[in-house]
Order: sequence, then C-alpha cells, then structure tokens
Amino acid sequence: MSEVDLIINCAASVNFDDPLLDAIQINYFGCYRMLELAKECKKLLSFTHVSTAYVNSNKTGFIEEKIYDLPGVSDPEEEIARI
Amino acid sequence: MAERMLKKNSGNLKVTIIRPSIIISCYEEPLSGWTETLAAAGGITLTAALGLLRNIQVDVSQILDLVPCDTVSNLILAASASTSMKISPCIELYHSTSSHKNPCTITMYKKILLSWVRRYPFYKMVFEPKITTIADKKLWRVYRFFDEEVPTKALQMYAALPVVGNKDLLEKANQLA
Repeated sequence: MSEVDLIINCAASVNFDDPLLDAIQINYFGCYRMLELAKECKKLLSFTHVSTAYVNSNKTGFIEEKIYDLPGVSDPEEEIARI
Repeated sequence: MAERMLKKNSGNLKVTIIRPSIIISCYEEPLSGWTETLAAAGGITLTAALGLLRNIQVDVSQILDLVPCDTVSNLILAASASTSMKISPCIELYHSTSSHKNPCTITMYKKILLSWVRRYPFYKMVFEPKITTIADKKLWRVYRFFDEEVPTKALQMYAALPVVGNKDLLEKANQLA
C-alpha cells in the first residue's frame, strides 16, 4: 500500500442481461471500492479507470472527451441508493 | 455512472478514464490477430470465419467501431504515464475508437474479414465463409431457417439412417445443431 504508484481498474461485466443489482455491484461498486483503496495509497501517481465509448450512448453526433451530466440525475450516489 | 462517481469522489487523486469501443484481437503485439476471449468482436469473427455464422440481422450503413486490443492497452499505459506527470489533481479522459473521420463500417469489416479468411482458411472450417447482411428481422429468420437449420437437420437425419449413416457423422451433425 505504501509503495503502489499506479492502479488500473479494467474489471467489468459486459453481460447486458445480468440482473441490474449484480451489474451495479460489479461495474459501479467495483470502481468505488478501488477508489477507496486508491485513496489510502500514499505514493499513488494515477488511478486509471477503463470505461467504454458507449457510456454516452443516449447522445448522438460528436461526443467530446468529457463527462456529460445525465438528464434528470443530479447525484449519481442518490440514484444508486434509490435502485 | 461510475465515471460520474469518480468525478465527484476523486478528491486529491489524479484520475485517468479510458473509453474504448468494441475491442477486437491484436494488431501487432504480441502477435497479429491473437485473442484470448470470444467476448465482443472475437466471437463474431471466429464463427463467421468458420462458416457457422452466415446470416446477420444488421443495418449495413451503421458503424461497427472496432479497435485492436493492443492499441487500447498501449493507450492505457501512455495515458496513465501522462496523467502521473501532472502536478495538480485532475480527471483526464481519453477515447480509444476508430475516428469519426475514418470510421470502421460493417461493410468494411465484412470485406476485410472475408478477404483474409479466403487467403488463410481455417483447417477446421465447417462451411465456406459467406456473410449475408439483412436489415429486416422476419426476412432474416427465413434466411436463417433455410441456410442454417435445414442443412443441419438434414445431416442429422441422414446420419441417423441405418445403412448410410454412422456414429461419427451423427456426432458431428449433433455438434453442428
């Protein structure tokens, strides 16, 4: 923990017919727990998360390299708690 | 969701996010065409090259955004290194797709796949590779029935006949079906 300088999180489930709760446990909380772990690493230089180009599939046209807000969702954590 | 959670909770960490599209086998490292998994585009490529997948229900004008897996892994390493050089906490986003200027279309994928499979055919090839793309779902079902189900059923029945058929042939027919 005191010597780690790079964390790459590329684990995810791409089974689109998984139950929603399982998919959230793997794809959302997997990343969340890795982030918690990363915060405890003293020498960490970069936390790398591998997402997918289809996260903004609700949008059409040119998609920039930035994080878009979901329509109608202000806080992702609240939305997850609701589910 | 995970990306937005990262944006909110990253605190004083330097975060890199990579967004690859559909990942296909390697371009050159460690070997051209090497793949370990049949997820994503690997499954379609293999079954089509073996001649098992013959009719696909798809709109040919769409983009099939394929990206070789070594390109993605190289980007992950390069982007992580680039982010780690930054001084202040930040979120860096990188896309890893075929570009909007030169997108990989389904027609292109089909053409390239068939040309390479004809040049280097599989030893265990089942049928001659031929991909028919059909946009209409009902028409696709009809095509699939006559092109895939009827031959396998016929082979199964032929293999089960007492005089001409034999066990090996029946096993092979059952595998196909």
